[in-house]
Amino acid sequence: MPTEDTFYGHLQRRGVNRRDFLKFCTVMAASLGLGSGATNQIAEALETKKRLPVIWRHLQECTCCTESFIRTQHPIAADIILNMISLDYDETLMAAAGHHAEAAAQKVMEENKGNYILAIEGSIPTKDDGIYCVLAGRTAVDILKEEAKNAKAIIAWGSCATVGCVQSANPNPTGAVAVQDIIKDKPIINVPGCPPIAEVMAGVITHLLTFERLPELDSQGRPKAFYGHRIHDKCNRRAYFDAGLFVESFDDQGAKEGWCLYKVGCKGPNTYNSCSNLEWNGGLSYPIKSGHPCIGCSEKGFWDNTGGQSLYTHLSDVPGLKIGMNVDTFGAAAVGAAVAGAAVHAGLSAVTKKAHDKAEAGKSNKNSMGG
Amino acid sequence: MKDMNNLTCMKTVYVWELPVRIYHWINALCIVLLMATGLYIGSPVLRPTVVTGDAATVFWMGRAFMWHMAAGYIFVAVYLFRLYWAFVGNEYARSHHWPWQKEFWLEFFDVLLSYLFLKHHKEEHLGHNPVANLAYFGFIMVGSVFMAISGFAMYGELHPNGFFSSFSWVFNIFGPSFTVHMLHRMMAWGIVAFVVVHLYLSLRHDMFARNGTLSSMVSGYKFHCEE
Repeated sequence: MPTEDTFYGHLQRRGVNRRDFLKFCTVMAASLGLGSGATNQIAEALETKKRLPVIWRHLQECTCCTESFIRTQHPIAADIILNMISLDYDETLMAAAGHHAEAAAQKVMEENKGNYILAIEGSIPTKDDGIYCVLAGRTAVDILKEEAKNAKAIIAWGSCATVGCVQSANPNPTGAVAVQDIIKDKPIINVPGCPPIAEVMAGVITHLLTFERLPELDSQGRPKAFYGHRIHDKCNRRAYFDAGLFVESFDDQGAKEGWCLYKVGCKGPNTYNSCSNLEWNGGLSYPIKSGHPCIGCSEKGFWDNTGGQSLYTHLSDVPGLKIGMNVDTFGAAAVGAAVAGAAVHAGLSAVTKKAHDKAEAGKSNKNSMGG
Repeated sequence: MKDMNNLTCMKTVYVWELPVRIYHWINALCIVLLMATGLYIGSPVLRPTVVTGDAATVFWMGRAFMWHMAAGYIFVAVYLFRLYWAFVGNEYARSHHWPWQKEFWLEFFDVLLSYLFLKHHKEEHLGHNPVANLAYFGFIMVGSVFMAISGFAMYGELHPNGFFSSFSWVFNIFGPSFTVHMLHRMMAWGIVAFVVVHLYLSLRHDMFARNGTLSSMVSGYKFHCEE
């Protein structure tokens, strides 16, 4: 299949009708928050523009991003979304292997200098010269640097590539870092999540193809359309939060009633993602809806935020303390110490004051006797 | 305790002007309100036996949040006013030395030694002594600013396109939202510890120096008494 083919041309050959094609365009326009006018723009782009050459690298990761991506539930089947781009290299999905696969990656880089998209799944280990992730005899750092050099832009898929995720959790034995820690001179779209939602991934690619520029990003490089809101603010259990009705344990009446999961460690109030509006598996559900607190997988340092303790607590541990102590225990201890200190000081003050007064009295007595 | 009748109060000094006193008490009230609501917001301990009813009829967390924000706005407003008053008020309304000046530390250790019972002072500072100054600088001047900025940054999370979203740089400095919440709470506990020490020391000064430290925050006057 030639790379110059358009997306729509590709679809037609696959027997997808125009109606389904336009449905897909509408869904993408809506989920990107672009309004109905953008549907035509997207359709036109997909009809006329040649497919986007993409090298999709799997570094230190678990492939959950790809697993999520190929499960997108939107009107047109999963493989068609994948074909929106000309996925020239992807270990997981390509037929070629070994030397052929590496040759394909080389070919894309040479033929599309400055025009291809580099998609990175996974973090990059840097300790011990990066030997903890080696592909075709080369380290991940090496590959990333070479392929990023002539890329048009980089998509960092998932929390690994965005902030390091579990690999970079304390004590980070492999020295894992995110793409943005290594590549500084290329536009990077951070798409965090473990994994990101399939529709979010599709949306990012659609935007790149349609407008030939990056979607609007926030200060952390995440597309605003998908990471602009906290899960908390669109949560279906939000009314219970505001009311003050909380699940205390997973088997209590509150859990059965579907109350707020804040007290069993929900990180929804601290997590920016689309889970509570786009939801997962084609809008079927998402963790909180299913009764499990959000673990905040798309947030930086989510493994370490509670001090490496349980994910089912929402009060953070005080950083730097080796013994696990949450911030309230620490604060109450500090206030207790202040009260105790004041009490001791008061006692000492009384004693020294008495001694001082006695000495003064003695002095004045002596004076009067002398006089 | 000695007989108070022997005391002659040589002079009364107008130390705390009315605006300073008003600031002090509004600020104190704000801290109490902010701490009470803040404790509940971070760790809603009231069990379902207290919070009864359903989501349509009760609004505990929502109300706690509302009062927290209201008190926060007032806290910032009186802070700004107090800052202004430091420039136009009397000499006791401002610091004369700062922690980055040598004179500050000379006086500081002098007072610290007396608090550690290593030195005895006859003369009392009428305004803030340097130890108090450092505490106010850390907990009230810098601490309040940190609380306000981190607080408004977290408030901005509710309205990503609103005015307070312009505080989002806070998350790039102090860490993700979760960490900012933690730091905000830790500083709040720090302020409570400060209040404990503040109450104790004002009581102590009132009793030992007998200069009316406690009532001065109501009347404005301190006394210079001798036997």
